[in-house]
Amino acid sequence: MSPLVAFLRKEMLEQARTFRLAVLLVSFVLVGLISPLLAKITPELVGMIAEDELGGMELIITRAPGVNDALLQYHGNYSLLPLLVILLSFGAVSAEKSRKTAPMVLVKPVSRRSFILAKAAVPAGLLVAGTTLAAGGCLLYTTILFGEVDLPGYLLVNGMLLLGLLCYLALTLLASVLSPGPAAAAGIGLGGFILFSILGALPLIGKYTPAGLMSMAGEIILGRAVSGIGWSVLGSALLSLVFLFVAERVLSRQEL
Amino acid sequence: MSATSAIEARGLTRHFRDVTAVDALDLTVGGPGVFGFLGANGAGKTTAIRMLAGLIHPSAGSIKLLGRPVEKAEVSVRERLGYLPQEPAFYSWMTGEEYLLHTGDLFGLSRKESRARSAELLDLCGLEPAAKRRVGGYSGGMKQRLGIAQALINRPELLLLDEPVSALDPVGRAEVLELIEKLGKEATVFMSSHILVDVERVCEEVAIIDHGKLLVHERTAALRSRALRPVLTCELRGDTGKIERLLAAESWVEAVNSEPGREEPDMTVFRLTVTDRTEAEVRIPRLIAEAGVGLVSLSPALPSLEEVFIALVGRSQKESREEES
Repeated sequence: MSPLVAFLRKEMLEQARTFRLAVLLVSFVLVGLISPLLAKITPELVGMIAEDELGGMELIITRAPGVNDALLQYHGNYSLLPLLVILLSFGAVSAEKSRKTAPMVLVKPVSRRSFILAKAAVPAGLLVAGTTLAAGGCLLYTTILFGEVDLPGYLLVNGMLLLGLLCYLALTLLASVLSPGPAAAAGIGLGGFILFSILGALPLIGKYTPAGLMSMAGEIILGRAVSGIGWSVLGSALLSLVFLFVAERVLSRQEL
Repeated sequence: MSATSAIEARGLTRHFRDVTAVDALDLTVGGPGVFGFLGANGAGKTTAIRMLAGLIHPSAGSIKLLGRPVEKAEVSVRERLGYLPQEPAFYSWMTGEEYLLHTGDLFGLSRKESRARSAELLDLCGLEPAAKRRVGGYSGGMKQRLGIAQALINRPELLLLDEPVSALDPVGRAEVLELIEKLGKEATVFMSSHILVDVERVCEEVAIIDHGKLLVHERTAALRSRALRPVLTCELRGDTGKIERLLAAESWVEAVNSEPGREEPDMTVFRLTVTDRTEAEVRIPRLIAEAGVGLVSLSPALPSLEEVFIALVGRSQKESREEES
């Protein structure tokens, strides 16, 4: 077994033993299944609340919820997942440094590049698996509740959402490498999330950020004409690679 | 092992802001054998070992491990190295056995090889009954033993041990020292400690550092016989109060220590540090006759490593104070 494979195996096992795997997958499945359901029952719920709480006011709903409402709900819920990714990954490297387990590993024939690669690959794999589950669940439930979904568009939207999430993962890993301890890493990760949310709303540079990419996915669901998807995808992909490259370079020079 | 030195450090220096933790350390360690790296707390031992392990960078100087410069020594050297930090840390969610198997995997051992070696080391380090327990529940001593086991999984040619027995109880310490002694027959064991009795027991060669500077590097036996004034042991029977006063008044006597004989209650054992051994051997029997006590034996003794250490470190600290003033 190569040291990289051995470390990947350990990372997988750690995700399972520390219940991060379960938390992550359950969250994704919930996002997939609850979104169409919420789209379906929200008008009924609002109608009931209006009748009970607003003195018998009758609410007339002019349009019945459809596929787009389910997908918009899904998009909204999925857009909160970067926070979960940050919370589950901020300790990936920083906790190993502060608990002194990293030096025990890195004096062995494991290169620092392999270390960071394993730290990125395992959660990235889980995000792919989680997104597949969420997207599958949402597709199935939306089809049952509202009818057929445009599959190519749906796949594109999910691909864009996943890439945005992977970019936040890379950012969190960089924060974890840069920070001496987990608390600082969490702070940097959350700070990055807020910063990207602000930058994502700016006209010129917004679309190159993961927040901009995820919000562009919402525009596609709404059926609006969207230009520069390729550039936006490229921007987030490059940003992810830059974060990982800098993380590897910093870690390779870091004292443990 | 080839004729290449296991460790070769030249001008090794490390500053932490305005503190010099290791100061121009020159050290060559051959092998196989057990090498003791001695120093008081804060002398710079751990910093030096972390530089040797490649975990921190020297501010100046160079290190070669097993003939390869440490900065270029990627996988090729680390495959032949074992390392135990002062406070070994593990994944608390793993069992002891799983940790050793994982360590074997990191060294590229086959699963079969890894299992066999893990079982062997769990047995050797007395961890077999706790093999299936999570490391998070281990005591400090058990973690230390697991740390030693993981450092040995690849049958290293060079073993860097930072205070390997400091967290162990007396029985565990004796067992681990015996193990280190055995390992020293095949590999180079570089062991730091401030427990001098342990070093004296297993190390053929020692280096003593103080304030990051190398004070001495010599074979243990040679150091003990050379570094201090001659010491004589004198066993006397009877009332020894007078002879103690007489000895203390002599100009050639530097220190007088006495303790009751272990087997015979009326006997006293004196340990005398003298400036002139010949004069001491002539004068002591006369003084004993004058005091009217019985002489059972008079023989030369080697100073303990502790006495050498205290003398050398004390001298170094006195010189530092004089330089500062």
